[in-house]
Amino acid sequence: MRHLWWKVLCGLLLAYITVFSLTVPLGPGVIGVDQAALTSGENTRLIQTYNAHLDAADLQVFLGVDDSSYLCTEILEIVEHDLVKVSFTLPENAPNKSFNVLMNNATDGTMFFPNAFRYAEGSSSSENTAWDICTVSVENQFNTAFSIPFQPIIYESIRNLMFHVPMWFTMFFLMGIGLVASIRYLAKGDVSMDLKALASVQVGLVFCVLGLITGSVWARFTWGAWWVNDPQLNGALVTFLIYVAYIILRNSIEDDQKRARIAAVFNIFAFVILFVLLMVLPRFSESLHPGKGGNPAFNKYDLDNTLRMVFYPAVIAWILLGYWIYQLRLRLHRIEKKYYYHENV
Amino acid sequence: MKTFKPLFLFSIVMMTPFFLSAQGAKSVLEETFFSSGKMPVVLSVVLIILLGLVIYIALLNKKVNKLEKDINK
Repeated sequence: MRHLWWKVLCGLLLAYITVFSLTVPLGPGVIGVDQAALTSGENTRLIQTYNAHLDAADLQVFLGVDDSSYLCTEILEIVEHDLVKVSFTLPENAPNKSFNVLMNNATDGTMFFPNAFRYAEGSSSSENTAWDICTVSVENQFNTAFSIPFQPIIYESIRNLMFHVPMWFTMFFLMGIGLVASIRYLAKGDVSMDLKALASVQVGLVFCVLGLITGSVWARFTWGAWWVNDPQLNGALVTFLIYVAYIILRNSIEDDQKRARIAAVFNIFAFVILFVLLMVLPRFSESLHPGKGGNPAFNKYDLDNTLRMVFYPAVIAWILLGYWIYQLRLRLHRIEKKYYYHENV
Repeated sequence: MKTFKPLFLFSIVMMTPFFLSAQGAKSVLEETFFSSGKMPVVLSVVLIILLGLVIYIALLNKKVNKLEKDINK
């Protein structure tokens, strides 16, 4: 009973992160516009939003001209609860450029949709443009409601952060146990260390497979393909194959001591390759995957304070669950060893 | 039992090309998953993880059953 506390903690944390990540509403945001191309003169466009309070009396819609000046739009009509019709006039001699859409109200803060409109019929320079700039200061920048941050294209699936990402943290943790156990086996020749390495790799592979499949599903509905040729994704797949090779290698060697020794050496190299493929190489190349290439995983948009409240507990919860399953696997190995080979390990 | 394990893992390896090649245009699948702000993507990810862990526990269960049987023999 003394060692029960972390299992209870694991259960409570899993319940907490599941309830939190499935019930806290997604913050407001702009999904898109009905027609991106602008014409000179007056334009009337529909803007689709998500979870936004369009009925707010202080709702304002702007087009971003540059970082600090905005072109005003007139709100014609709230077509549906999430659809607003606006009209605005491009000035004479407007330059060819893309425009961001910004929406602002007291509850939702500032909602931002990059490069919503583009103008291609005008001049190439903005020198002679007489912008009808609004002098409205966008004061309330932050959403006041308790919510998960809205991100373009990802939408609600940002909740996968609490399920897909910790699979890899857990795999890393378990393969780390395997690495330490393999080093200690080579140092002392202790058979129990060999069993630890085996059990940790077996359970780590389960989490690796889950990470690959959930990542594939997520990629299909954000990037549009089940698999993209990306250093991070291919690295994860190669890691999986290397650890599968570890299991196959073990099963192909008859002699106990020889098997344990060769497997331990292989496991140490496997972890080095895992580290290089997942943590080092993707950072040196372009990648779609957050955290790699030019995409920081933990910038202020990806991981705000609300997500922190649940992401870190999620990582701890899944690691504890992985460790728990690993212990069960290890105990089974020990009993098998004792019963079939009469070895106390 | 000893031959079963690599076979199982091997079958998973053999399934990976299906993840690699499957690709399609806007489809019924896409429309279903894009509804309600891509919430079905989250549900399927949670279900895959639960199902995966249950399958692994079932495999462990099988091993325990066999050991139990041998010990009680």
